[in-house]
Amino acid sequence: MAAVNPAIQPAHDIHGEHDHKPHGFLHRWLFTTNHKDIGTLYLVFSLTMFFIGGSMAMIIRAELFQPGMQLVQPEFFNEMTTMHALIMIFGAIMPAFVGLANWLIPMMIGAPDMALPRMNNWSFWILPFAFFLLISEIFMPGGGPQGGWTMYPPLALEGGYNVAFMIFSIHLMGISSIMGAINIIATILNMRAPGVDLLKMPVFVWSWLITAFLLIAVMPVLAGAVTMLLTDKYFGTSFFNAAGGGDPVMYQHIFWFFGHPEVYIMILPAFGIVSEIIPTFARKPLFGYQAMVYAIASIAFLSFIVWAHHMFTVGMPLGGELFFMYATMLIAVPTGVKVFNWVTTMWKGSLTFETPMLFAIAFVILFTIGGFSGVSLALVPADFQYQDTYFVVAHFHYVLVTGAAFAIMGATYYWLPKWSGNMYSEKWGKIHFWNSVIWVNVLFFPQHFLGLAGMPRRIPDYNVAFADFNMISSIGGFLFGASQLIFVGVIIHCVFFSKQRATSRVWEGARGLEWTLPSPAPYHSFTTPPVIDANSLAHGDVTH
Amino acid sequence: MAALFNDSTFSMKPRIDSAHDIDARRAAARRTALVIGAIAVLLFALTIIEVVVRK
Repeated sequence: MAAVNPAIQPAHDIHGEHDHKPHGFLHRWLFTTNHKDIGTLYLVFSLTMFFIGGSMAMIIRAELFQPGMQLVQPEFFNEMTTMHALIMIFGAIMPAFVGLANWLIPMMIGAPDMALPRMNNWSFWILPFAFFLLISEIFMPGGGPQGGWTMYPPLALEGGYNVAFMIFSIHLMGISSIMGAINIIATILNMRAPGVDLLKMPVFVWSWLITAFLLIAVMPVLAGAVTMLLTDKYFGTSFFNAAGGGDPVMYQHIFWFFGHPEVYIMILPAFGIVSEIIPTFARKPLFGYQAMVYAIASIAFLSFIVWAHHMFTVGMPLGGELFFMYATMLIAVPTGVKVFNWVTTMWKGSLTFETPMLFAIAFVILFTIGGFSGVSLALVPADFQYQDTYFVVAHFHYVLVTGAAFAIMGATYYWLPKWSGNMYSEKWGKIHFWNSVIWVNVLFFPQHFLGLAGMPRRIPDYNVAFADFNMISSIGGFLFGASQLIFVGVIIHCVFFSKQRATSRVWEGARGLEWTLPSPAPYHSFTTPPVIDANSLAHGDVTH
Repeated sequence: MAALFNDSTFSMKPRIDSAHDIDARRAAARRTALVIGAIAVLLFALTIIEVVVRK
């Protein structure tokens, strides 16, 4: 090259010959282009949002502790249900996975950093502003959005100032996600070290490559949908306004064309994490590596042709209902392949049950329960009964809390020694796990019964017939929420106070390029691409 | 398209086998990013066009 653009210089050239971090808090964190720093920023942001969204859940469960109105006004309750969902989906789960991707993908493929480090910085720093806009709506005249995270018109357009703020914040979140996804695809396709063929990559990297393509395909669709909402509200258009010839049901189709793949955006990286953790603690290679990769790709493809199962009750032709029902049930096939492969990986393995493994096993069992209730919901006649009941709430919380959030917690315990250089307290990790796994079931399992008995979701008051299960669910909720303080305590102790140093491999059975680096991972890693040998790769046929 | 995508973009092998050619890798990554970004903008426009056409 004739002239070297600083943006594409290797990291070690930008920061000098030595492996030094930038000096000064602002310089280090605000202007960072280092994938590890940006990964840390994403993870800290995600944890913060997890607690803000969780606090809203506590308010919801406190109000539902007993029948009748006791703590908050119905409007505020509706704000809480809406904001809880938006914050947990876009602020907690998604940024946590992006943070893990930032930390791990370059180390797993032997790259010095993400392909586009400056865009990486921008992807993250948009997020705090997006969520400042979103959360600030609570303090505006008229309060925050109350129409649910799905923002169905005409209800969602009835809000005051919050409509514009909510839509702008979603645009910012979307831009952040798209830039993050572009970076991940560009990194995986272009930055792999010699020898790291696609079918030798860790499953976590595969899961993120496919997730990134999902993000590219559906986030612009959400952006288009909310842009049309904005113009309907403020510029006199009638895309979704029936009085002007528009169609509100069309919005639902477009929203769920985004919304269903979004569900898989929040679970495919979790599949990748569990596929890394289980072989390590089973001390066996992952069973059916290629089948796992193809199963993720199949699930991603199917996620585009099932969206209308979220809206069976709006009315659609019988042929449409049958198509979406069967297509939805088809997803159970590749998902079943994954579950059986995880179980088979453990079969006759030399299993040990450190905290990451406990979370991974809990994931396999509890996510499968969420999958089963999903299959129930796919049945059109049953769905007519379950639609908008607590059965749906129980279903998606089993998928997203005991699925996605448990995988994130397991990943944190698994890679924290690599990130910090210290071992966490196994005793407190296990106390956190057992409290989480017990109370999360006390929280969500009774909601199946509430839903089957007909309790609608998104209501602040309910029939006294639902009182007992609601009280049990709320107690589980408070204790599950409190248990997460242990998680924060374990992380802080590990990072700042732990005296037990981590080895480079950390776990006896760990395989993969990230474990060839010292712990903590150096600020700049793989500035010279690693020489790949059979022992350093986690998966795939490494004999050729 | 050949100019935008290196021939080996979607091959199973890493596209740049030269261990030290990081500049070439990042340049290829920027081309990949440009194409994917353009697809995202196109999908945004198609979403709105779809609703307009069906209205």
